[in-house]
Amino acid sequence: MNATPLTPILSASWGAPYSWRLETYRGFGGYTGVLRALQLTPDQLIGVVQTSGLRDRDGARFLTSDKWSAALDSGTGVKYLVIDCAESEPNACKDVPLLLASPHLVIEGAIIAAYAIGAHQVFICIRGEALHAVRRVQQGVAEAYRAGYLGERALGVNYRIDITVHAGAGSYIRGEETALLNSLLGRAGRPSSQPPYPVSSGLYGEPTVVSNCETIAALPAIVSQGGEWYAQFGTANSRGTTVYSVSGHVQFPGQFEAPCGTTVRALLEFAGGIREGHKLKFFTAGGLSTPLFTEEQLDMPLPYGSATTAKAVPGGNALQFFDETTSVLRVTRRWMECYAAESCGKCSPCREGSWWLSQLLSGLAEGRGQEGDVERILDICDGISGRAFCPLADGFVGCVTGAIRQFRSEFEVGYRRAANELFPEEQSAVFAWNESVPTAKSGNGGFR
Amino acid sequence: MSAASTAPVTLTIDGNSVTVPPGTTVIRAAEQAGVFIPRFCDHPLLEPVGVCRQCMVEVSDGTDTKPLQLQPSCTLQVAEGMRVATQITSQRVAAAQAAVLELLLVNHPLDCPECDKGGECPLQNQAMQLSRGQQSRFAGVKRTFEKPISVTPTILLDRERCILCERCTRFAAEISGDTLFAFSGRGARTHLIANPAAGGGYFTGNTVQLCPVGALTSTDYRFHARTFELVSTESTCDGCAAGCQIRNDVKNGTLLRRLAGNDSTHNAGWLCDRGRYGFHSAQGADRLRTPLLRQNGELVAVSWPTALDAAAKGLRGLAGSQVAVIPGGRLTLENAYAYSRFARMVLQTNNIDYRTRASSDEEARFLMRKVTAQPVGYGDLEQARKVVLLCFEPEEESPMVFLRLRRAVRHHGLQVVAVAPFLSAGNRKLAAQLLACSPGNEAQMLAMLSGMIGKDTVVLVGERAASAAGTYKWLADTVAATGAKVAWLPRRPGELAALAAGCLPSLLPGGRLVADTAARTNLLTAWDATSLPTQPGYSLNDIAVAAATGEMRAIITGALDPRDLPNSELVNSALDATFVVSLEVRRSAVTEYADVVFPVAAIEEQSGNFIDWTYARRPVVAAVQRNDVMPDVRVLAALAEALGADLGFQTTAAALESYDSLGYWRYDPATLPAIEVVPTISQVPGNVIFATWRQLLDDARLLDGAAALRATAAPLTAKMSPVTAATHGFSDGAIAQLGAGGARWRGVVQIVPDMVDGVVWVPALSEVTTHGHLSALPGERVILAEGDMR
Ligand SMILES: Cc1cc2nc3c(=O)[nH]c(=O)nc-3n(C[C@H](O)[C@H](O)[C@H](O)COP(=O)(O)O)c2cc1C
Ligand code: SF4
Ligand code: SF4
Ligand code: FES
Repeated sequence: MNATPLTPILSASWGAPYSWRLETYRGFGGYTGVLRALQLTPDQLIGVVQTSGLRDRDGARFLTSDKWSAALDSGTGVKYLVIDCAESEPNACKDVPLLLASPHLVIEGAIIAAYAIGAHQVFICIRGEALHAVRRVQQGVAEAYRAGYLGERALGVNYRIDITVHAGAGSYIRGEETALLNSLLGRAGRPSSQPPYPVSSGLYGEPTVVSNCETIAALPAIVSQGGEWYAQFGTANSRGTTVYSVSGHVQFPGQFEAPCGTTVRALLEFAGGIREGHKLKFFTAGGLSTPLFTEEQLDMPLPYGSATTAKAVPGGNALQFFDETTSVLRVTRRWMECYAAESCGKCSPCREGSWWLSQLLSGLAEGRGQEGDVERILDICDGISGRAFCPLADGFVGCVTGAIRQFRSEFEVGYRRAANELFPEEQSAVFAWNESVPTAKSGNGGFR
Repeated sequence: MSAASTAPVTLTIDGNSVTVPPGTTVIRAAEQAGVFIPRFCDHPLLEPVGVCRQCMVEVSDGTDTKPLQLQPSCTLQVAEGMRVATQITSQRVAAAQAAVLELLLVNHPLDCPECDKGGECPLQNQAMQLSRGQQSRFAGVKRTFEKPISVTPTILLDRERCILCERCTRFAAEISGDTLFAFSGRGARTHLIANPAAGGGYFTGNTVQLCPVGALTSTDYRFHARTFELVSTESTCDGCAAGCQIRNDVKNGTLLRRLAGNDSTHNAGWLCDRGRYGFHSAQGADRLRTPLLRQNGELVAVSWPTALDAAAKGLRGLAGSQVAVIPGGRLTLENAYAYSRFARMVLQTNNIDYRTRASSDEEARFLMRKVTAQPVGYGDLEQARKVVLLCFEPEEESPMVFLRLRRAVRHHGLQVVAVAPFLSAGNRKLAAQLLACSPGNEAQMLAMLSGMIGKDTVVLVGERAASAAGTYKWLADTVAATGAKVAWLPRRPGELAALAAGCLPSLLPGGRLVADTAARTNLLTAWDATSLPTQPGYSLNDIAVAAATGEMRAIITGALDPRDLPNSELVNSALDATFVVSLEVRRSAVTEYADVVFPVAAIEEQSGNFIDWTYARRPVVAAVQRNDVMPDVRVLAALAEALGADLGFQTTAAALESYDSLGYWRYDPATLPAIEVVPTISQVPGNVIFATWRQLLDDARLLDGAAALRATAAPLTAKMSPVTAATHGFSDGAIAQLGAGGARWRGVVQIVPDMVDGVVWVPALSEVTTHGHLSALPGERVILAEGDMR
């Protein structure tokens, strides 16, 4: 049996009927954390969060309490809290389920965080395509107003808090905090230069804390049960629990809440292992923006990098497993096309590089590659790496070079033969294979 | 935050130490060290964005504790002890730059041979430099777009050439404030879109010059030349009195293109569209190439000697009150001086008035004080805390002053106050505060304004103040005492030179008063003349009246368009009644009355100097060489000779030398004739007060031939307040008609919420053929009626 237990804290109520309703949430002890929080001073509250060791769930994994202190130190003027629910990293799927199942967790967390940093206005920014999640949160916010948890003298305290739900046009890059703020301001969702950092000059030029929605959702439990209680979960570098999303060639894909530092092997076990009759070929951990891993790294604790480096990995808890039927080349080409479509187009290395790379990878995947294309791809990646405006381009460079490093020969076959000849697509499909399902067309850089 | 340090910062670039002010970007510091880092999005006049990633350098903070990082030098600010390696000393940087360049060319069409920019293209040039002869490895499919699309009537966009550097969008947002461009789509499909609804404004041509590739091109110039065919000359724009430096590009003797010059004290790289595109007026079929002489009622082409003889015959024996000179306000200093000296010495008259527009004696007295007054300049606009706009619309009348004001508003918190009947679109972009005032009533606002003015204020007064009685007196008497700076900002480029040259009835060159015997004697000696007229002459209006009474017998005109005058009918009959010698570039309304016509050189065909509103001499350099026409100076010298007199110089250079030898005559302002306020506005019946001013793009003759430019002008409306509209039964969009005398203006009503009541504004001299032209003065009453009134 699995040595690691599931620890449903954020997901405790997910299975309950009508889990998203206020009364269900209250039944699970909802809105008791916030009442406790409001009895503390902001400094004491930050102290609790510091004790908990909570790290940002989606950014550079800073200590959440550090970010709050910076905001609190920025003075007593207008401040904003912006909750990032853009979640567009392919494979990542934790924010949308969380918002669907338990919107009040995020709303309660938002009140706590806003009070801690001295903000009166909160924006919950959800990707517009997740319309179901947007509706849930809108209804949740309306319920919270009716219940007197929001607005003037919320929860009977002399502190006003308003929440606005914002549905932005979805794109991967819109999850990056400055792009998110631009989108919120009605501009194109493209990143801006930092500094100034949002925490000193963000929305409307005011200090703004941007936090991932899972970071915020962890707060009610931390406040009601205490920082020490929360810190017992996880590892020294990475406290608490987190929602892992597991997908791909596994028996039971889904979300699993477990302590931070859970190993890939344990997560694969939660998902029932690789599908019947197949064996693991490789996996990704941390969305696409990380290299490919194989069997040998199964005992790696996640979130990826949390134990070793502080590298920013959006979607750090998203795992996707691939079995031996999978062509790495075909998968890489799909990913690259995704990046080419998601690049915001602002800076030349990412914009032009993703266009070029997806054409070269398409050529290889269809067996139309030219001798030397693999070196060319690596060289182009070299010319992009570290030159782009935001981390997105480094993400695809890491993904492509990682795949080539591990499975170079599969790419080189593309000089002569299409990937489908070696790895027939229908064998990889987890659903009944349908020939008429359109696949990526070649030669147009992935735009259909 | 601690107060920002102002101590200079020292860093090394490629091993060479350079010291720069804090806040300088590395790319600028490198320029000071003599190192050019390749760049596309960077532009010294725009805020850094760091999007092209071409300007990568290797940076160490000097401590060697961290690995060297590649960073864009255009967004990175210098720091003490920083060590920067550019492509010159770092192979890694050179490789990074070459890689970015290759990427930038992935989707670029490489159609240089048929692109206007070819030969002067930053992308082409840097590609040649950085690629070191290597070819692109890209062999795939490039993105394509339908091409070209029309952005404005003057600008075309070829989207596939665009490298998305954001220069054009930043220009629109940061400099002009006209949001013409935006980006659409994402990834490599990102492309520039234009918002035609935004109109575009008066500065769009700058984006063509800014664009580092040939994505934005001018309809005017597209496919007309390869750069190596052009001969370029730096000169000064003749569009207004701002004194902008321009570059004239000539191919085979034809002026094809005008670009903005970089003169940092003036336009610093920008130009308005009028200056950029409005240079075709002398290229039309109505261009005069030979002298014309009226014979049996018809003008016929004659030789120069015949025309000179005929002109001399008509003028001979006339002097004093019998002759007059109307030089116009668009002359160079040299030409204006020639007219001034010709009137005084050859014709023995002070009947000279260059003000071919509404003018007043109050203004003339004010201008006497201005000749030697302390100049105000562009720098003063940036240092001022407050700028008051009095009878002056910067964006319409002096676009470069507008841009500088906007910069001061954005960067230095300048506060702008506009005394006007409503807040114009231009003044709104200056976030100006409106002191709403009906035209002609400006004087009533002045008491209130006096309280708002101090040492740190600059008052910009426009030429329309001539019809706002009391304004000039207030400026000279009250404002001077506050220590505020006052700048007079006429529209035309030649006004200040004509003023300096003494082309006014009571003013001689160099600020000398006609009434001042000592000054006159000084001039008599300097000119080696036998006599000079002692009585002040007639103003333009008096000249016309004297012609009607038969006293005036002959008039010499420079560039004169009677439509510019409030009393155009009177002037037309004066021209009809007298012997008219016209010096003109093209056939004009005056030609119809002229007895002798002399062709003169257009501004691009001659050299000389303008004097701009800051009193700076701005050189005019001939870009087109012609031997069939001469500047006014030479024609007047020849005419003097035909009259048996000597103008004292034959050439432009000699005219300037003569002018400069005179020096200026300075008076204590207290001793100058007091400024008297005489109401200028006639009391005519009407139901609304008339407000008007000239638009930058209107029916001015100098814009003839620039049809695309004119087509960019904003739609014209009759503006009135909600109350005025309700009183007269108009709704927004209704057709209204305005009548003054026999003239009619007909057009669409626009209701303007912040406008003063009882006033209707219509544009002056705009789309005259469709709307009609009213020559009423602002402040006069006119009749407002429904559109179908006959
Ligand atoms: C390319 C890119 C995409 C990102 N996408 C997301 C996202 O979808 N959701 C998110 O919360 N943060 C995303 N981030 C991280 C945000 O910039 C930011 O660091 C984070 O929202 C802060 O929240 P946290 O501090 O609670 O982790 C992304 C960053 C990058 C560079
Ligand atoms: S790397 Fe550049 S183009 Fe790509 S998403 Fe970031 S800013 Fe946009
Ligand atoms: S049109 Fe020209 S100036 Fe504008 S973004 Fe494209 S390349 Fe830059
Ligand atoms: S010039 Fe520096 S990024 Fe474009």
